[in-house]
Amino acid sequence: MHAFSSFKILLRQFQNPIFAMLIATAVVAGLFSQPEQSIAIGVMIAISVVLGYYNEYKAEKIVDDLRKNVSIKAVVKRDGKSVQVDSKLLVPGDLVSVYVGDIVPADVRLVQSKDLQVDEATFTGESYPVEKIPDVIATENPIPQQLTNYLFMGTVIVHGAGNGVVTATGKYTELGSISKSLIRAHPETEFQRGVKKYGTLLLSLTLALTIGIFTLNFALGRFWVDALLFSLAVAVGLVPELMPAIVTISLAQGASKMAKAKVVVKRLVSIEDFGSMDVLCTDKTGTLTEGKINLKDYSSLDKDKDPLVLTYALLCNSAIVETRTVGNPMDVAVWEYAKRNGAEEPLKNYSKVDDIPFDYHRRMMSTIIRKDGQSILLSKGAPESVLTRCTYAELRGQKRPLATVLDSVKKRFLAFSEHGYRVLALAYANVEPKQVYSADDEKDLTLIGFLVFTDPPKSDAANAVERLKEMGVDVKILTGDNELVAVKICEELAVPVKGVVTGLDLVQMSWTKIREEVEKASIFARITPEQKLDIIKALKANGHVVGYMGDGVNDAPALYEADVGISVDTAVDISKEVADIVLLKKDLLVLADGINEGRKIFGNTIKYILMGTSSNFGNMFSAAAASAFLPFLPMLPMQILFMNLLYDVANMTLPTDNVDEEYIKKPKRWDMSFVKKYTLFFGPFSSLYDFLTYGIMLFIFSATANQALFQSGWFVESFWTEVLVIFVIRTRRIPFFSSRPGKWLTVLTLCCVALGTIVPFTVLGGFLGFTALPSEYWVLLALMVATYLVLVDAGKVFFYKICKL
Amino acid sequence: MDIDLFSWWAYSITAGSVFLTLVAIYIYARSKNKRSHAARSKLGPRDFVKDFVFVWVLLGLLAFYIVTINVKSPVIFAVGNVLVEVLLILYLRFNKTKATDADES
Repeated sequence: MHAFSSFKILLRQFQNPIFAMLIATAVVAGLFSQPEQSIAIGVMIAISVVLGYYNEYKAEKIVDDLRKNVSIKAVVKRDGKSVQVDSKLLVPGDLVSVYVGDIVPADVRLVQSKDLQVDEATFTGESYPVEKIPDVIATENPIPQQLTNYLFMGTVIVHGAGNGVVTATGKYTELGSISKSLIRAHPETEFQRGVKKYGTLLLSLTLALTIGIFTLNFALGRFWVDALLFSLAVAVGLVPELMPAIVTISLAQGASKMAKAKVVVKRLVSIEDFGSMDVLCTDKTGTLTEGKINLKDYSSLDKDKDPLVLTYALLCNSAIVETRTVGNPMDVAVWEYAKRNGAEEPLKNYSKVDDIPFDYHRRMMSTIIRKDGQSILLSKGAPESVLTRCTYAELRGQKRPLATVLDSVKKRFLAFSEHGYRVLALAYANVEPKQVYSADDEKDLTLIGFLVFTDPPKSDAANAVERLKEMGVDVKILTGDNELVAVKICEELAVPVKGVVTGLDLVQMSWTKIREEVEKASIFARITPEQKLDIIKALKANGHVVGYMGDGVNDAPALYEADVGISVDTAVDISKEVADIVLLKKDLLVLADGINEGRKIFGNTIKYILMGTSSNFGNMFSAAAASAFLPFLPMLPMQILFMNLLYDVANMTLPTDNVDEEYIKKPKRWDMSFVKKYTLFFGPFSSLYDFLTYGIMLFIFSATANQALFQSGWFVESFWTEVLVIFVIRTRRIPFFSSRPGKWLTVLTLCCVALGTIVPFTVLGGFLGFTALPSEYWVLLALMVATYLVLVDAGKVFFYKICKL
Repeated sequence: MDIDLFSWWAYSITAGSVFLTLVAIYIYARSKNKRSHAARSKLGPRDFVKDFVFVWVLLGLLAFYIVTINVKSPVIFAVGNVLVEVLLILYLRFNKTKATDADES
């Protein structure tokens, strides 16, 4: 389970290379008789660490609280009653129950099991499910693979149920002892890759500039310590050291807002991909329909509500009926119907011999029962699958060749499907008594009837699909049901159907054809879990950011493969564990709110990056260039660091900024070439105005012989332009003031500007090497900054006409 | 010393502007290459001039700044700035984006 440590967060603040640079700068300054620089840099390090720590701690706390909403629960006997507790609260000796879809919460010695199969792939590497039985094992010192009477923490129940005694928990379990992760690590998100590329770009720029500045200043005959300090300070000024904190706090605050919209984010970085998502694959149960499956009819081939069909459906059933009925929703629905109507009575006349479990290739399951000494194989499953194994059909108590009634049988099945009902076929065969049965025995069956289920359409589903479409998210339905049911539901809800592809069609398609078809179709019916994976892979290969929403055991691979795995709180453990995002309510509208939030976060993060790469970069570039022709340093290292600190403080509230409505209308992708173009285009704007200030200071205010005056003038100008330009860069709207900035961003930015303005007149200003500026300068500065802001706005007209993100 | 420094300064700021103009032409050309032939053929010299208004303004502004600073006149500097701002604001008025279509492109 995830836990966060304050100490680790504190330690992380120092792992940033920028702190190594700052510390190096402070040490060099201290060693070479510049103690005031050393102290000032030390204070700045302390402030930066506190700011970074505070933000990251707050973010981690939010995420930790959110995770508690989706913790894995275990069913345990306490005081003789079965209760659900957080799996972290289990202790050795507890009697726990596990069901299909559960992640085993501790190491457990089985005492009872029913058709229990466990996926131990994450633990032993065994890709096939392993059967577990409570028998005693005679082998001495068995290896874990031989312990068929043990369940290991972290493995997944894929079939059946069982009870057992907890023998070890947490780090004392087999899994804990090998420190293996429960789930495979997720691949990097597109956003993470983007940030990494951006970091590499900045690092190479910083490195080149730092070495260049040092060499140039040293060659110009400046004292090497001054040259080194100056080049290090420029490097510090270039690196957006607050970026990790800004990104983390943006994501955490977004996660907190999303939680209010009933969307719990388990993996923070997935929020960005959530906002970029342009295709959502989902099943129809619970999204287009209410997800409340009820048995409507159990008809034989000639009449409705035939009791024998219901009895056979109860016998050929994988639901676990104990204190609660769990399992396949349709099997559960059959049991719930029977319990409500007292239809379990005939079951006592039958005894169960064996099961042939359901799988997605056969699309059916079978049970072998015995009545009056006769062994009967009962099969239940998708009508297309069951019919292919039938030779006969039972009509009015008479067994006839299926071929003679096939047309009427198909008509009956199609009539149910066309009404949007989900249908299962039921068949039987008398078989020879034996110990073990297999799928090969599912032959020469006699079709006896159909089970008809309802799942009412969701009234707001059409709105939700339409809203997602407006947001640029294409919804694709991936269902195990037949295409008629899926299309009927879509028609009823007025959800547009672009095209239908069935699992059978997919099998016959080449990879290239699949990639074409996934673009055209909106419904994929009768598909297997492997085909779900193929569809997601094909969409990803076509350049989409794909979300997948699922809640079953077989959805786990697709949830993992998708860029954004979305599950629901009622899902099986494994789906919740693999998912990036868990909805507390399975609703597409809830999802739409979450996507909006993801896009806002992406927008605010991009603003910070664009700020850093344009204005900030321009300023540092000007400093480097000016040092080549000025008789003194354009700004002292201490002054650069002070400006950098103030700039960072002003940016702290960026995560709370408003994002324009039109920006979040469409999915946004990370585009490094856009960032590069932005830097190349807007960076020089800032530099030109820095040079203009140099000209004003040198030739109008004659600061050639007054280093402090020059540095003060440029400090104020570069700080004003660097900070105020956020109001222009933060929006694409022209003019920029037609977009309202966030309250806190406005307040803090203006406070920082005020502070930067009065600093040259204060004692602190004197300590930092500033001096008071003449009053005429302020008039020129105001006009110059106004021209700069309007010019950048005009530059946006040109830039956004030809560059998109 | 003053003359040398001024030359340095004027060369640097001019080089910066030329760089910005080249960047603008580069990204403009790249974006045009990506457009279809049909769309490209519709664009005439007038569109090119229109697209580059801000670049012409910038270059004019640069010449103005260099001259003003050379004559050391804060008054001309201030008046010129106000004039340029008015021009740019007029340009922005004609290119104003509505809140709803700012991102439709």
